[in-house]
Amino acid sequence: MNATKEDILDTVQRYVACAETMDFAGRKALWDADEPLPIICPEESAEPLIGWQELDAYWSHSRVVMSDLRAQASNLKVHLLSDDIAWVVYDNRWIAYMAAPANEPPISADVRMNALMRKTSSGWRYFQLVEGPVDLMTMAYQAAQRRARTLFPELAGDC
Amino acid sequence: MTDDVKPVREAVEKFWSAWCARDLAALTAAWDEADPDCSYLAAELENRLVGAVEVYSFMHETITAFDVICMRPKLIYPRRLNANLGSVFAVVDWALQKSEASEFIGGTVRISAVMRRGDELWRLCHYAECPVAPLVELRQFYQSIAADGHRAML
Repeated sequence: MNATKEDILDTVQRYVACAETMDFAGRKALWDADEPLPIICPEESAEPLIGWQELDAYWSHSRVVMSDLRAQASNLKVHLLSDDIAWVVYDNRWIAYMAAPANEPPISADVRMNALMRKTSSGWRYFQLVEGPVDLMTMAYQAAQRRARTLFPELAGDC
Repeated sequence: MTDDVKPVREAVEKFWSAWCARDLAALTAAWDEADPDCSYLAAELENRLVGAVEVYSFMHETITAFDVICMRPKLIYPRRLNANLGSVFAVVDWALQKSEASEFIGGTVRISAVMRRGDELWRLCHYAECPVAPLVELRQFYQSIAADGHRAML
């Protein structure tokens, strides 16, 4: 792997690691501060978040609604589109404890991340990040498959 | 660097029109097939499609499987990344019908796309369909039923 790709992946890994301490200021620091129109589209948000004001509000709100968050990236792929622009995709497995109701078990899912990053004087930085879960129908099928494995583990070899 | 985003926007709009027309030639022409890393993330597939062969095959299967395809963008943010690169973030409503005898199914996806200019034409090299989380979509569905029920009870 060349140095550029290593630098990009380093930014991604640092971004994902911010989940551990819910360090959303740390996440913001990995965005291109000079971007006039940053876009983030979290899977849980009904509307895309466009502009710094909306991003800041989202990160502040995230700290309130979750009591704990973990994330892990895998399957990272970088497509260097030019010297200073990259398309970066990865799978993000997250596990979250919600603040309310308290003592509920955590929820978790896998989401496909689609990032556009720019090389800045501070390093590679995000300027657009769109989260892509599988759609409802596909997830319903995955849920039924998981349920079958749980209910009938003896059939696993036959399925 | 030019700030003209019009050709970037027109290129992605042409792609959506090609879906609506179920026009495979226009759909494939929208892609930069020389790029071995071009990719399509379909909302219903677990794996990202990579390379022109996989992308074309998916588009062919989709237009064959459905008699009617509707795509209607409701928000488009095109960007010019440099002279030969552009990106689009969009929100698109879609509906599909297998045959006249079947009901339409539909939804909304957020799109993240990248385009490259070659021979004065802008072509896709990445296209990702990103639905809202299923948990959120189910809640919206329950809310829509409640809204209908509430009206019926009044």
